[in-house]
Amino acid sequence: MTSKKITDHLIAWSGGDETALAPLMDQVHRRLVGLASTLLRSERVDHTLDAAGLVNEAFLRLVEQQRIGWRDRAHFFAIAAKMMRRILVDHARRRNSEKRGSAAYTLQLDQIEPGDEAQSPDLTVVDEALKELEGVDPQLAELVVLKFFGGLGRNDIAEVMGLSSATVSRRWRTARAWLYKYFEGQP
Amino acid sequence: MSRDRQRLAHRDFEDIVDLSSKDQQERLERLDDGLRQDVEELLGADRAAAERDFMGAPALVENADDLRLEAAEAPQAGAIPRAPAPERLGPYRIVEEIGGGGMGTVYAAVRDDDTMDRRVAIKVIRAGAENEDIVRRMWLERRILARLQHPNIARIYDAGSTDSGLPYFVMELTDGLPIDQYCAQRQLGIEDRLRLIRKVCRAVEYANENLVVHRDLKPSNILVTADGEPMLLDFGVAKVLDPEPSSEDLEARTEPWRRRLTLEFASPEQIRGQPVSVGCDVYSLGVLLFLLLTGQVPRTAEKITPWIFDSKEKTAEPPKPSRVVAAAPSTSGPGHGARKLSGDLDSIVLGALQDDPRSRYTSAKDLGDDIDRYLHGFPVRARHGSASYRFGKFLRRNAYKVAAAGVFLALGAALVGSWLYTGAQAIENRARLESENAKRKQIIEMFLGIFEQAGPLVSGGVDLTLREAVDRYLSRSAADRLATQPDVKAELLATLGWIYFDLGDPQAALDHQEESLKLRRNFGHSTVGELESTVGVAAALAELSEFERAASLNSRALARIAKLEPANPELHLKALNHQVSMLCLQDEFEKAEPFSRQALELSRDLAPSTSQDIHFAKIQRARVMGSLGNLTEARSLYSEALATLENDYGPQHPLIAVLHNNLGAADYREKDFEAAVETWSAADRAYRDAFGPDYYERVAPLTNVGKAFQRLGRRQEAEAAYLQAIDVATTSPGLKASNESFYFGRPAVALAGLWLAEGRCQDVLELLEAKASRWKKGRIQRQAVELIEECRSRPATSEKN
Repeated sequence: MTSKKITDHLIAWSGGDETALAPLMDQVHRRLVGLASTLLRSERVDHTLDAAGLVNEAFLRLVEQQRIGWRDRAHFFAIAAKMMRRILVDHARRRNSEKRGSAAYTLQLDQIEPGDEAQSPDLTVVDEALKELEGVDPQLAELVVLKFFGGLGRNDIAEVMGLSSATVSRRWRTARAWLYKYFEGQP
Repeated sequence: MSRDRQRLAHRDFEDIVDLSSKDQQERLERLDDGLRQDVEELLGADRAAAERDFMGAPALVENADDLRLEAAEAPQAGAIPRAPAPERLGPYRIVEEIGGGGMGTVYAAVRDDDTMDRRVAIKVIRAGAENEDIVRRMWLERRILARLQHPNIARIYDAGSTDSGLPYFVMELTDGLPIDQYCAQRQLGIEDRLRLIRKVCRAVEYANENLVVHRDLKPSNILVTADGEPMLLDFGVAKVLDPEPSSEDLEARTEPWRRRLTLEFASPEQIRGQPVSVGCDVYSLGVLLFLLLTGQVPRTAEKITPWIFDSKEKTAEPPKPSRVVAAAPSTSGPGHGARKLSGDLDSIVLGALQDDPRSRYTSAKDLGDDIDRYLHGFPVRARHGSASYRFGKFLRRNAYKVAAAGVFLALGAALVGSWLYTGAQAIENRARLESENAKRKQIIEMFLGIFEQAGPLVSGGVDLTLREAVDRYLSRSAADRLATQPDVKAELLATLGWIYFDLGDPQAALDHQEESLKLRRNFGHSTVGELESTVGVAAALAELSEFERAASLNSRALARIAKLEPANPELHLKALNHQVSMLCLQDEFEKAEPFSRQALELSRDLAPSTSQDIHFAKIQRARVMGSLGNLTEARSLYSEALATLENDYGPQHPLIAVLHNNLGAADYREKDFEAAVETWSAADRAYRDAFGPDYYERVAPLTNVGKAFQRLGRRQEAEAAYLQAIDVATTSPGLKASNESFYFGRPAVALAGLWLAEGRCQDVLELLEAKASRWKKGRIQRQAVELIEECRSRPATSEKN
């Protein structure tokens, strides 16, 4: 699928055409994985690869910038965030299963130093937490996906979820507190 | 806990999370026990999570290498599995694989008929849908690329396609390290790094002059050989792979085009998908320079999105290298402090990294020349020209450009007019008339010449600022020719003096005006000219805080101008305006009043005309009246001036900032401090939008905002405003040491007053003591001395309170 088609689907979907969503998600998922591998091969100064950076790159490369507005952009990011969750969690699960025997380890919260970005919570646990949160307060779960897996900013999240930016900030704090409690309760 | 109950707790949590802990307690007590416990737990978790920055950064791909394997296992559209190394390609025998990148695979090879067994490098481009096009373009470009012969550019010998249709390039084999690794490994110092980059600039300059743009300059394309010579690889390859978009393939272009970019090194126009020129190589060289000086790239790929470059936010400006080094010294950098980078090197790097290609160095040559100047201890252009860079930006952003050109033309017309006039007086003297005619012609030629500099053929398609055009014209042709005609030269110097004055460079204005004055005194028969230069000298001196000399020169000139026969109301108005301005700078409003009234009356006679002096007369009259307590007249004059200014120039003229600043003063005097904060903030914004965040005139409105906050009892905000003003006064490249008392002094004295009231004597002394002694005598300096003495006399114990 060319970027033109991806862009067409994106514009159609964010304009309200729900049938455009399935092919769009499918393509974005395939392209994100491909892109991650391309990026890792290419010569980059900085070898860390975070989800937000990947989504940004995906946007740059897959979407025709000239044709879309910022609303379409926010919607693209929302989809990419959901895809990132799938890709990264699958990846983490696979890695964990390869290390079987050492038991799925979870990150001790006390080990997280403020500002220490190298530490990221185990994504399989994040995924389980999100599944539970979806049962309790689905809006919070969606917000976490957009922010954590998609790196979306407050205003983009507000656009995608149809909330005010202030509400997004407040809801994020609830989500974060809820997740913190969840991780704290883990063995 | 039930789902509904949890959601209830969430809502209550959100209602009270931002309240003070006392209010939180109050609200919590109203909840039933179970719910209260839930909410309390969430509050506790919120605090702990905030403290640890839990989930603060987006998800990281840990050990992302595995992800690559997964991707390889699941074939993707467009990703072609790697083929085994071929045994031969065309007439070349493959010896070994020597590298692979995002673009393809590189082999070492030998040509069959080469008896010397000389090795070449062959780069096979990874397959894509557009192969055929690449091959076709490669053949078109091949001859141009083969013509590039430079000791620091790897030659391209040949091009072809494999049996399976993959395009390949044959090029000179270079053995070396990527430039960043080379510098790090040899632990090169800053000068050695600069010398290396200068060589790279020269090579890029050579290629650019042969109409080849690299478009993908990055460390892996710049290898340094064992004997320290940089070699540039892949020149022109990017263009073959991704041609200029033509209208028919515009739609298809986005995807393959961006896929190959190395985002950290790509210019904004490349990221945005706009047409590229030599400017994109200049930008990439800027990134390279940044990397070699700091060990980091100015923008990491994660932060690069097309809307970063589109947005009007100032945050899109790249950071200064010196600040980056100060914040996080890197082990791969040249191992020097931030101090060495601040100033010239900061300016050079940022001069290459401007988002708008027209604001960048116009060529790799200019960048290389400036690095040369730095290495030899000469002043660099990027810094010297910073006022004009900003002015240029300002012009471009506004329709004001047209108006500025208009002012310039008007100046020219005035000059020509004055020659015509003098010519008419001398009508009996035929020889003299002829010489006047010659001068007149010369002046016209000069203006045409200056405008020619801005034409696309001479400027190389780059949009020059007025000042650059003038500078270029003078450096190229005019200076020697004009030297033979001292009176023409004097006229030109005076005009340039005023232009520099308006550009915010009083020192250059002074130099030009003084030279012009000397010439006019020695050779002149033009009293008007001599007086005009005198006013120019005085105006520049006042801006440089040399008030005494300025005032005495200007008063004497003014007295003579008033008596001129025939009268010269334009010059009279100018001299009056500067008289008022000088007195206002010293807060001598009562003395300024009669002059400002005269200026206003004169300006009413002269209107309608778009001369800035007419606006200026109004604004200054309003300022004087406002300072003397006549706020009604002040406001009505300001409104009048604002209306005409916006009408003439649109909303971003710098005088509009001046107006807001003065209107704020009226608010302040009426003790409406809230309004004053707003009006002054508007003034600050107007300056910042017009000239950028470093513009030194921001100091005045920022200091004023601080004072208004102080009167409102909002101490924190007052302190913040003063500190910001001080920051601008310390970092603004437009400021000279001789201006320190005026720009640094005002906010510093205000802040010191605030601190003294809190007993922070040590801070006051640190802020002022070293500096105040070298300030010019005046109100600010007196206040500073008083503050220092007060602090010295206080017992040291007050510090502990």
